[in-house]
Amino acid sequence: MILAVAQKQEFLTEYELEVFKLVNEGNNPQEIADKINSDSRFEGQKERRKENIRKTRVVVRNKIERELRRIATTNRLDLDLAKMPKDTGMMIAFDWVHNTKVYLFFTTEKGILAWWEHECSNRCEPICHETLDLILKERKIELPPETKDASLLEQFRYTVSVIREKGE
Amino acid sequence: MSEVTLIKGEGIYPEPDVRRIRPHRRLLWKYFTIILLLWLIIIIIIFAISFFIFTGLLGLDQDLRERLTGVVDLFILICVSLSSIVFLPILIVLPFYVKSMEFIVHGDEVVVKKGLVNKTVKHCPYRNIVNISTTVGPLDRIFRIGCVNIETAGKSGYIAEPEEKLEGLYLYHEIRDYILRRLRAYQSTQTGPKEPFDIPTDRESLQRESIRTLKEIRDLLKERIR
Repeated sequence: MILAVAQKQEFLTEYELEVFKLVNEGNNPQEIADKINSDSRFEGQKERRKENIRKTRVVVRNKIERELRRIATTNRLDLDLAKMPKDTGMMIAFDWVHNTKVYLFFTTEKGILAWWEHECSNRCEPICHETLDLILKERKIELPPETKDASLLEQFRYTVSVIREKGE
Repeated sequence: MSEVTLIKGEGIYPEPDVRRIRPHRRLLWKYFTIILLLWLIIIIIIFAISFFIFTGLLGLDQDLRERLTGVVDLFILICVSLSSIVFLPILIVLPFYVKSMEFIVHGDEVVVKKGLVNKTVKHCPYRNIVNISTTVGPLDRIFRIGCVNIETAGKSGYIAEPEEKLEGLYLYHEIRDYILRRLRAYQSTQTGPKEPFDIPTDRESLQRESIRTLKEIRDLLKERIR
C-alpha cells in the first residue's frame, strides 16, 4: 500500500537534476557539459566545463545520499553503510519490523521511493509494477527475456543488481 | 526536502539472508568518553594531592621547601606518565575491539562474537532464552544507542550480568522486538500436543509455507507436461 503521495523532489536544482539524468544515461562529463551549454533552459547562465560537471556530480551525490539517509532514519531502517553502492541514487536498508530488505530509490519524477522487498499480491501488483517501470525507464535498464517471465520480486532484485554494478 | 512514497506491499515478505549486525560507531565515542573521563579524574586527583602536599610545605623554611617542591613536581610527572602509559594503549586498541564485535539474530540462535586477543563466539539458542531487556545508560542516551541484554536458563550461580549483551545498537528497540517475536513463535510451537506434520502456527510462516508448496506443485506439473 502507498502511504504517502509523492510530489516532485525539491532538494536538487534544475541544473543538478539535469546532470543526474545525463549521468544515468551514461554520458561523460564533457558530453554533459556540451548538452547543458546547448540547452535553452540554461541559456544566460555561465558556460559549464567538465570540471564544473565533476564538482556538480559530487554535490548531487552527497545531497541524494543525505536525503536517502534521512528517509531511512525517519522510518527506522538499518543501513549497512559499508556496502552502500555509491553514485547510484539508491540505498539498501533493512526493516527489523517487517524482517525484510528495503530499497530506497531516488527518481527525478516522483522523488524518493522506498520499496519493501515482498512477493506481490494481486492488490499491490499494479503499484509495484508502476514503480518498477519508472525505475527501469529512468535508469535506462532493459530486463532480459528470462527475467520478464519471473515474479516482480525477481525483477526488482535484478534491477537492483544492475544498478549496483553501474555504481561499482 | 522531498516527498516520499513508501511501498510496503500486501504480499509475503521473503525470508531474508543471515544479517550480521555490527555496533554503531557511536559505541566507540561512548568508550572514548568513559576512558577520557576516567583519565581526567585521575589527573585531577593527582593534582589535588600535590596541591595539599604543597600547601603543607608552606610552613617550612625556604631551602627545604624548594627541595620538596622539586620532589612534588617529579611525583606529578611520574603519576601522569604512568596513567598515560595505561590509558593510551587502551584508546589505540578500542577501535579494533569495537570493530571485532558482531551479532547475528537470524536463524535458531543468537550469536555474539567479541574479542581481539581471545576471540569469543557465544551461541545462545532461542529455546534457552528466558529474559530479554534493554539498557540505556546516560552516555547511551547522549549518543542515542542502546544495549539488548539476553538471559538464558543455563546461567549458573548468582551472576548479575546477563548471558549476552548486544551493545552499541542504534535500533535496539526494533532488534529486541524482533528477538521477542522469534521467541514467541518458537515457544508457541513447543506448547500443545505434537502434530503428525510440522505445521507452523504464525500467519507469516504459514503463508510462506503455502507459497512454497504451491511452487513445488507448479514445478511438478510443468515437468509432467513436458
